[in-house]
Amino acid sequence: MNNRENISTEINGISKTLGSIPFINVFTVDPNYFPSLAQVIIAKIYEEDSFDSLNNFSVPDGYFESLAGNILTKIHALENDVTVELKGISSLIAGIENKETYTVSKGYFDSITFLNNKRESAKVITINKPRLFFKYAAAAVITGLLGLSIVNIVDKNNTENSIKTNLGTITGTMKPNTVLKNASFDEALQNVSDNEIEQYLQKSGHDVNAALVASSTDDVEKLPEATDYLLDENVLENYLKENNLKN
Amino acid sequence: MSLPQDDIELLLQFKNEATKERAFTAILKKYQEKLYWHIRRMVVEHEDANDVLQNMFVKAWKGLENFREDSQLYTWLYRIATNESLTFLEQQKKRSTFSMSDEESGLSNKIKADTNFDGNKLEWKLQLAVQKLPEKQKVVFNLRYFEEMPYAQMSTVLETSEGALKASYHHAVKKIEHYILNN
Repeated sequence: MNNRENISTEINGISKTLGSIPFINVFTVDPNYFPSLAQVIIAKIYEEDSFDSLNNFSVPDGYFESLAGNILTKIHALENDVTVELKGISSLIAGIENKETYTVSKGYFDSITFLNNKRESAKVITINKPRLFFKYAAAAVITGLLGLSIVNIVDKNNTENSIKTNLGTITGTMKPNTVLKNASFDEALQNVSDNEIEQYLQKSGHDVNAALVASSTDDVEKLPEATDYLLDENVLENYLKENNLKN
Repeated sequence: MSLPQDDIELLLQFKNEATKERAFTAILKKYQEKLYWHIRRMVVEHEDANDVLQNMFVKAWKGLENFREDSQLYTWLYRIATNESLTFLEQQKKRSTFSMSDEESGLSNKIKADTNFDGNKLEWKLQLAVQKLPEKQKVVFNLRYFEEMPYAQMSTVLETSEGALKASYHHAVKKIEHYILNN
């Protein structure tokens, strides 16, 4: 029994209908097709080969052999430090994929608007160097003037008690240091004679310049250095001229 | 299953640069008709069959250097032809704006467009019925019914067990019978 008979027997066993259909190839082809086919295909192969040879690019020796390793090295290098740390602590938790479990409605992020789009600009406080300079210069000038007048009106008697009394009267329960730090110094000074001030300062060992500078600053911590306000005579002269303070 | 002596000699000649082309031409002439009809029954139109056949032989040329001689050249070529045909049909489906059923009827229309088509003849009805089969069953039926391929060889070509192929063939025949009886 040849193959065709085998196939017919088999198909008759499954379907008599198909078994009764004559075995005919319904499709046809040009009689010249097959004789020339091999030549056509060989020509196509050489055409494709020449096309392949057009690729003149080259890669370094061993590029593809080491490519996979290089890529893996890069991937490992980029591996998140947090993951590495977590692996060290708990491989179980590190094995859990870091996926977001929470969801938001579609388009949520697109719909976010700020209630107040007008941003209030922050208050900018500039440090004005020239003004600081004049502040210290003024303090030095006043210090000098006071110092001169105090020297002229020296009265060495009963100064300490008088100052204490006057300061106590003005500030009440306040300590003298507090008076020096706030604006009440001048008020206290009006009721004390120059002589008394001089006496007091000399007796108690206080520097009158330092006391006046301290009274013109708000914060003890920010007291200027002595070099900031000890100006030479020329500077002082100029300042007085500019401000019409000189006779 | 060992290679036929002539196939062994052809492969040896193919590996020799001086005789490579001559050997391949001989392989072409030996298998071209069988492979052409196998492809033609899958893709129906001659132009498509010609394209697929040429492409599959180009691939065979490129792959023959590495061909393992423990398998049959004949089944290896059939495997390439089958895969190329199925790939071609898949590409046709993707290019088509029609649905899958329309694509099937597209192949049926190609059959009906054949100059020799006669819808009253059973052999033409058989071809129309084959186009209604799923791809794998279509291949199995064609290889068995038209190519008379033994199940053992078919098993190598399609990498499927003989039992599964027999079952597939049985189902295909039953579906074709149902189509013929109802059309």
